[in-house]
Amino acid sequence: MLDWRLGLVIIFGAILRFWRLGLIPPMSTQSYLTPRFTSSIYSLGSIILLYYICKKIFRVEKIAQLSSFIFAILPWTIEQGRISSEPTNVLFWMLLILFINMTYKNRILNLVSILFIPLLFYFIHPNFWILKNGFYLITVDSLLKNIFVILTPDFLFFKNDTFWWGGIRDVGVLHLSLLPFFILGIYQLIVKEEIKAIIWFGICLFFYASNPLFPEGREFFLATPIIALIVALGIYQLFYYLYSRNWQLVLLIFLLILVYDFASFLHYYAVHYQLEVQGYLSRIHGVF
Amino acid sequence: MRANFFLVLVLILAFFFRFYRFDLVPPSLYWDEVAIGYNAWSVLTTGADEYGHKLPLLFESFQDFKLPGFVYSIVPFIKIWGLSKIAVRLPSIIFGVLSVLFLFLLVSQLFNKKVAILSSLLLATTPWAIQFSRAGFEVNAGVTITILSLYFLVKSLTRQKWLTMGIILSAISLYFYYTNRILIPLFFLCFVPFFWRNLRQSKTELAVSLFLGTLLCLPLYFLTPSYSRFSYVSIFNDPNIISQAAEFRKFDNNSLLARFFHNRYLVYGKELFKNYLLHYSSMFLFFGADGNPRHGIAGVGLLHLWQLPFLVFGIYKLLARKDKALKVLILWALFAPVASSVAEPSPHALRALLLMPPLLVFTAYGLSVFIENINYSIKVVTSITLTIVAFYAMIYYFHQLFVHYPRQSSRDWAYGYKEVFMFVKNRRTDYNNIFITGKYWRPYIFALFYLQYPADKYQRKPLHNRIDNIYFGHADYDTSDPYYDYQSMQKMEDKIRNSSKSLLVISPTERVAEDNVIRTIIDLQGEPLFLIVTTRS
Repeated sequence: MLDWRLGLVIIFGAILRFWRLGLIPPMSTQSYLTPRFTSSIYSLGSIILLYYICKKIFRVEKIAQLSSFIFAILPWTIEQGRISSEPTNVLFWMLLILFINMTYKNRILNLVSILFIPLLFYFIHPNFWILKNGFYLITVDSLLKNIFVILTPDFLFFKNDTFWWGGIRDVGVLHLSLLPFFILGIYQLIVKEEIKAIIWFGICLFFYASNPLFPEGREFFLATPIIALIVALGIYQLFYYLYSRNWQLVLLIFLLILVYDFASFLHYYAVHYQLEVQGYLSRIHGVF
Repeated sequence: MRANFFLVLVLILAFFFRFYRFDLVPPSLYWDEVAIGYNAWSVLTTGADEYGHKLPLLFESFQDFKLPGFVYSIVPFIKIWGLSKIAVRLPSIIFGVLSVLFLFLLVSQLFNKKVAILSSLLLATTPWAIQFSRAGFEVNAGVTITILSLYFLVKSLTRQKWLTMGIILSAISLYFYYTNRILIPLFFLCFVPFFWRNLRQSKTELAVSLFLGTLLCLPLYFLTPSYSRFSYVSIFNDPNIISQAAEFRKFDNNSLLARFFHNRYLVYGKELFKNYLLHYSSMFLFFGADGNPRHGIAGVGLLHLWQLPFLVFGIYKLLARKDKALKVLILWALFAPVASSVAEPSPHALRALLLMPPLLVFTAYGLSVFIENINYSIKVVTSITLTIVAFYAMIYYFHQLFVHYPRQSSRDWAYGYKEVFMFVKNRRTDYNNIFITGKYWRPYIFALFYLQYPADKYQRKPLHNRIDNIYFGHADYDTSDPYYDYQSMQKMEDKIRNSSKSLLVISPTERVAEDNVIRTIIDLQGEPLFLIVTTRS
């Protein structure tokens, strides 16, 4: 039986991904709707899979619902879910493999599905830097610098360097209004010692930071479920404080800011973004 | 006893790192240092600043107003050493060393002597602190007084008699650097309610102290003119920030929805918040400073990279304590970058210097807890490894600081002016007119400083374009100096150029074929900086 709250998240996620799909972002004469539609389907599928994965890990309905909801509204997942996006497709399959591994305790199936991951990358994300450039040696200093760049507030909240891959320049991975929950969530992630989530995040971070084209790679997109989970953990933690009127007020204020922030993003994406990319359509038609 | 012994060692170390070759690194006095030095000299000799204002509370300087604390604290040093590098820089060095001592006292109150020693050791050796202690930066003095005021405030939580001292010192710190004007009121707004349980035992003393503190601060808030430097650097006066929002509003026909989404106040708010957050960015703290060569060394962070895990660990562990240490340090760390966020460029290592002490205390606490909790068998190995890593980082920093930094940054430290005026000093009477290029900005203040021009004489006609027969050019972008006569200087420049008895100090790009170069002053990278020429006409 599908949880009604998950149903709402799916409907909301679907509207954000399918509404005026052929118009936003604008299509060039060389664009096709089918790859864009496929990405939207995969993105929606990731929302659902994330719910079930989180439910299995935490056994707390609310964390699962919140994770999938946050994933559905992250600016980067919306942007990538509305264009022909390889990382969106890879992410869906990775989540599916993870889900299979967690659900069925069949060793052969588990092994085969894990072996399937590199193959997935090869077919779905040919721009993944190892596949494109072979092994690339990066100095420790540069690697560290890149990692630090990713972990700056600038990268997380204020800018996106993947403009030529459909990213919005002035919008980061997360909405700025999610910052307090993100901080609280990181604290929770450490306290709860969610090592697997931290490792997943670390791997994505490493691959992205070691990309020779950094910061234009999109490997970090694969960390978006973890980011959504971190924010969800933060929000869930705040629920604990709800018995206090002061905290209820704080939460209400944060939620109002989030609504404004999200609406503002949608307005920009639906109205102004298409004008901003109009002059560059010939160069970014591959993803559009 | 053991702690005191280590403290003395740390203080010696701090003094050494700040004093050693202070005359060569940074390579020369820059604009603000000479302005502070000359104004202190002016106060000492005439009782007034360079413009003739008697014992001012604000020192007008480069269309800005310098706070009086640091200028007045330099006066005794000027009395001893005259107008010199040591007189300008030694007070800053002393403030830097004192900050190490005061941090020890403060952290002893918040934690224990072990964390206190570690904190002071980190402060003694951290690039951020050393950078601003080796030159005459007012901010360094401001941070020192702030640490001392916090020490008394924290002490007053157990012994109320120190409260007045803490509040008065907080008020005094406002006279040293501008960022305190935002930090201190914000801090008190939270400090009083947070520690009300402790403070309510001496309500009268609190009220009297706060009244005294406010009284002490009032002159500053009322005297600062509206056209201070803040108006130049404030993000609220930068039209570029809202230009995109204005464009979008126009596109949306200025509808209600457009005004809601592209609201200028929200755009400013977002910019402010972005600037604020960037002060905690790992790139800012551990890799590149803020890009200003006077604020740090390229490729070396404000803090050492090895400190990062302990900084994070320290914050994590401290959050579990929920005691006064947590409250004081978190308030301090959260409010410290607020003032710096309102101005551009941001993040800014100088304006955010107040952020450094709490970060170092977090690191020291993290380090202390980490060492305490590791297994005894690996404690020795870990401690040795950590010491080696920290030592390597320090050696690397000092190598960069003493070997490469002076060469790379000499122009940013206004190198060359001293050589120019030492040359000019002995030849002033040989020429009818001397012209100094303004390409490197405001040469007049260097002339006053290095020629030790009598302050009373300058106060009679404080012009930035002329001192006796020495004329000064101006930088292309510097066109609004109220003390510069732009019109007459244009004519004068041509006149000097065409006169046979003129000496010109110009930049290489200003040279013309007729110029006869009699001396070239090079920067520390070997590139020509000033050409001293006579005209052939």
